[in-house]
Amino acid sequence: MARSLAEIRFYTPKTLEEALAIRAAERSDAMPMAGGTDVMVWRRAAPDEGPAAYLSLWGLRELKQITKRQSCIEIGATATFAQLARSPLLRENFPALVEAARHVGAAQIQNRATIGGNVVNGSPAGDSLPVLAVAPAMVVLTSKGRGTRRVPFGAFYTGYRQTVLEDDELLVSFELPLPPPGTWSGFEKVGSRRAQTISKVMAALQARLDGDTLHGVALAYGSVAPTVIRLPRTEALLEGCSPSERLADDVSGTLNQEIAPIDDLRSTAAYRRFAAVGLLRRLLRRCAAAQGRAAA
Amino acid sequence: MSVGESVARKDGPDKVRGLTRYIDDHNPAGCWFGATVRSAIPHGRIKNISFPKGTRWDRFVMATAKAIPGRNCVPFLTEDLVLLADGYVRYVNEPILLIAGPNHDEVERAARAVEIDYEPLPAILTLDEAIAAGTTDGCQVPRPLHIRRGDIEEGFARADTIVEGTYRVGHQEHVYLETNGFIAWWEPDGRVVVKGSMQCPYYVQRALKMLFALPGEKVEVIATPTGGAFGGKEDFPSVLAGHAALLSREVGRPVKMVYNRTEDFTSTTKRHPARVHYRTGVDKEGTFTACSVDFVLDGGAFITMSPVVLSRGVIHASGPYHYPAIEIHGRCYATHTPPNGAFRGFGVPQVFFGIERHVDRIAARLGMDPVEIRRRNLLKPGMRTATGQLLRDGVSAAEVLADAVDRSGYRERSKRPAPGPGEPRRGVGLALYMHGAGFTGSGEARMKSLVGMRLTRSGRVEILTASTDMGQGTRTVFPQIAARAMNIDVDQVFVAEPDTARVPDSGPTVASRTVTIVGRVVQQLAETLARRILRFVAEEQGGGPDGYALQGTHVLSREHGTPVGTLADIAARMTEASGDVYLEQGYTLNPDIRWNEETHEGDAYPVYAWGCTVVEVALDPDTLEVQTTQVTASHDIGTVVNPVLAEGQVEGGVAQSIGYGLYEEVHWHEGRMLNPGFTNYVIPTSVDLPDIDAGFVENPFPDGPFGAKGLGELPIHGAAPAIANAIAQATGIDVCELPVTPERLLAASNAAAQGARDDRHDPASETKKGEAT
Repeated sequence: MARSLAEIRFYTPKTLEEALAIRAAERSDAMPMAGGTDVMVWRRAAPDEGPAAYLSLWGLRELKQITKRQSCIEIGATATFAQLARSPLLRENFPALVEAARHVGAAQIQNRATIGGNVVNGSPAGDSLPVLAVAPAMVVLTSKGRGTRRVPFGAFYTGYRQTVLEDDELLVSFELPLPPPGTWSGFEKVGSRRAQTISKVMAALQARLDGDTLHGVALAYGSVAPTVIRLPRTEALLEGCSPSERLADDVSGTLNQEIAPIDDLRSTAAYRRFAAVGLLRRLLRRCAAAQGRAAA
Repeated sequence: MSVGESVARKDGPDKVRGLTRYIDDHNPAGCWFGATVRSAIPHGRIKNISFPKGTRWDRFVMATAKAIPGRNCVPFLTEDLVLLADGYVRYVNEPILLIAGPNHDEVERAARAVEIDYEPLPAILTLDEAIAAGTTDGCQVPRPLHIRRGDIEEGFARADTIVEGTYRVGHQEHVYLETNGFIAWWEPDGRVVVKGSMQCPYYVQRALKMLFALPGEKVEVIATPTGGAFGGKEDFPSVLAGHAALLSREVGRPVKMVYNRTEDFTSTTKRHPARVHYRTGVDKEGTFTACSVDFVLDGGAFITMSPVVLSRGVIHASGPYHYPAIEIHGRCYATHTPPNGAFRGFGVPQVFFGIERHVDRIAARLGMDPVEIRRRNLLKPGMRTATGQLLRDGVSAAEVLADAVDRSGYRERSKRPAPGPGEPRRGVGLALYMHGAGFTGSGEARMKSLVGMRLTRSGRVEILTASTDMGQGTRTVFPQIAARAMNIDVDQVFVAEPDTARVPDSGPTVASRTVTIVGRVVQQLAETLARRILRFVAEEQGGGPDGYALQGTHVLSREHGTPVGTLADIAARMTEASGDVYLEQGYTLNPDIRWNEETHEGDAYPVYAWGCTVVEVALDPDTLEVQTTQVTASHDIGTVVNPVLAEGQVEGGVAQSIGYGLYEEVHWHEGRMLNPGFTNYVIPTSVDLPDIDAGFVENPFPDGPFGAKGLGELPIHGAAPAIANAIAQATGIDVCELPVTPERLLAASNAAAQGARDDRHDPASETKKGEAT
């Protein structure tokens, strides 16, 4: 049913408690939104199909914090990508997340778009997702009735744009375990141009460099499957290897078995497979350079 | 001396301060909003239009083809285009029904609620399908064109090598910043007034005359400041103005229709997709002996501008080269897709991608340098073009080639050392091209572009012209030309708002004709007006007109070098004495121009402008992403009237050509555009564009204003083929289709690898003379 903006209910709670109460009452009738950079675009594209109500989380200061805890860094769900990009904590511990944040849309979008929105929207092309997958992040969900639960990022998605988020729950934060000393992380993306582009393929790599070999390798890809995915078999092959760009070609067969890209408007499956290997080559080259610097 | 100076654009301050009022900034009292109900299928009959419950239909006003009082026709070169589909649709998003109401969002919603039942018919959706089918049901096509010179058979017989190639390009969207928009209303005296974003007020007037069966004096068309057009507002505004005027007639109020970006993408014209095949004979030294060209266009569902797009493409298909013998065949097919229309370059970027890529492929085959093969074959004064036009002066192919090659460091850049692992592979490519400004053949003689000029009571000079300013600078360069002709300050001259009730028909603002054709009339009028002022002063002050001269804001006595009065005082007295000081004049085409439209023989254009663009690219081996890293352009546009504006035109044209070469692609599914937005229709951003070094070689054109040729379209020809050539140089991949996306590069590279594997089993596939590649 078509609605004009005047007919839409727009909730602007001031506290998380208030927001959870509205969420429990409205359930799926009120769509939670933060910066609105996806939600407003959908409304414009399909004005007859939008929800009857929105629950704005934008005003909740408690969800905007980036905080160092004992063993993790906690990122509030409505922290914007601009906030992420300039966070000293993230620069020090998760430089890959800073890189991904800088790749999101334009500066204006980075000022509004939030990491929680990126994750709940669930597009496999969401720029922050591969980094959260390799961290690996814990997703913190809260509801009025059932309290808080923690879901590993790898279990958050159940299918294309499908998540475990219940209709009375809000995603409130992410907990990223503090990486051990010597950890390197990087993010790479290929889009249709250099800026303001949706990814055709993207990859994040996190590993600990012990001497000149990789340990605790985590590798995730976006835009190559219905959800962002980790590549456990490729990770196992990389484990204990010395990073080099040739290594990417050595593991490309397994990598290509683990991804399932498709042809769509933005690219082809064949190209995504080619570029997936190319991005790993870039990551390993950068990692090797970082290792060289550390050794020198 | 204002010609040759970078006079600040007159519309600049208002634009910078946000004061310029575009059509969407106008909201007349009581204005209603219009929306369009469009076809959901590419081809079929309309069985029924219904208005389901749930909408208060009595609050809206509707119009179908039945409401059109005149003919349901928007005339261009032919009269096939309908304003509204009448029982039969030929493309997805063809307008069927118009609806108006007082609230914009409610009208849009009501338009979406209208239900239309169709009887679908088989549709032809691509150029290949159209070629295979031969004809497209319900659609007309322009007549095929043929050019033939010299003995083709003898030319090919003499060749040592024959190289063939097929080159393909798809649609391109104009992506003007301001979408199409109009407001229309009817005056109590029966006049219809429309204002909006457009290039050609008199095209719109002609359409409204036919649609509403009105004489010209009953149709007033006002061009508002236009935020970009690139040809996209040459033809389509006649349709939208017709829609707004028809709704306004039904409602009895002003009606505003401004497209959002999606509707503008899905429903307005685009550049014609094309396929061009070249077969070129060349001798051992690299001199062309013969050429055969087959040029095929997809016109879409209606003819609109296609005959002249085809003609311009055919005329330019030989490129800036000389052939002892050449044949060029051009055909346009119809498809059940939105009509393709005018777009900067007008059929020429399509053929220049073909010819300039083809020449590089010939050079590669012969092991020749791309610069050398061009130098050997380029057109020089005294030679004849494919149409048989004898080139006299103003031929600068050699100069722009040398200039661009030198300034770009092409030689050094082509000899870069091989890249290390992970380093980008660099390549450099060039393209050489020309563009005929103004209408083809004797078109300008028929057009007779009229311009008016008035000396106002306050001593300012008003130029009255239908040439619009869509950002290219008409409002600035016309005053420069007039000021130079009169030797007065450029601030003394201004251009009137293009309103058909006030300005004469200077022809459309198209075909790179504004400066060189209409500007010539401006120059002549200004010279006449200056003489008239000096004659008046002489009568007043005594002596002959030669004893006086205009300078700045004054009239001087030549003898004493002292002012005898301000232009303002003199203008006031002149108006007092003889009333309105107004002159009007038309364009006179050089009588030496001879053109046979039937055979396409003769002087296709009064003069050509010439250009060469060198592009360096960096290709990322990991992802095959291509980045342009340096562009050097050299253009002969005759005298440069305003260097900053001219450089702006070159930079914009290069950017649009880089988009055509690397990024811009319209995706279709069953006749529907799949990417009608900036998310997936990819244009380069500022970080995707390199430094653009825009230089000029000035080879004045005697019949142009102070030697100026045309500029607008020329710079869009070069970057796309130069990019393809640079990529081929960097990778060895034989690029024959635009845009050169990484996906296409990968597919071509895989196909080449497959071909190489096949060749190992087939030693006879080595190409010899006469065989296709």
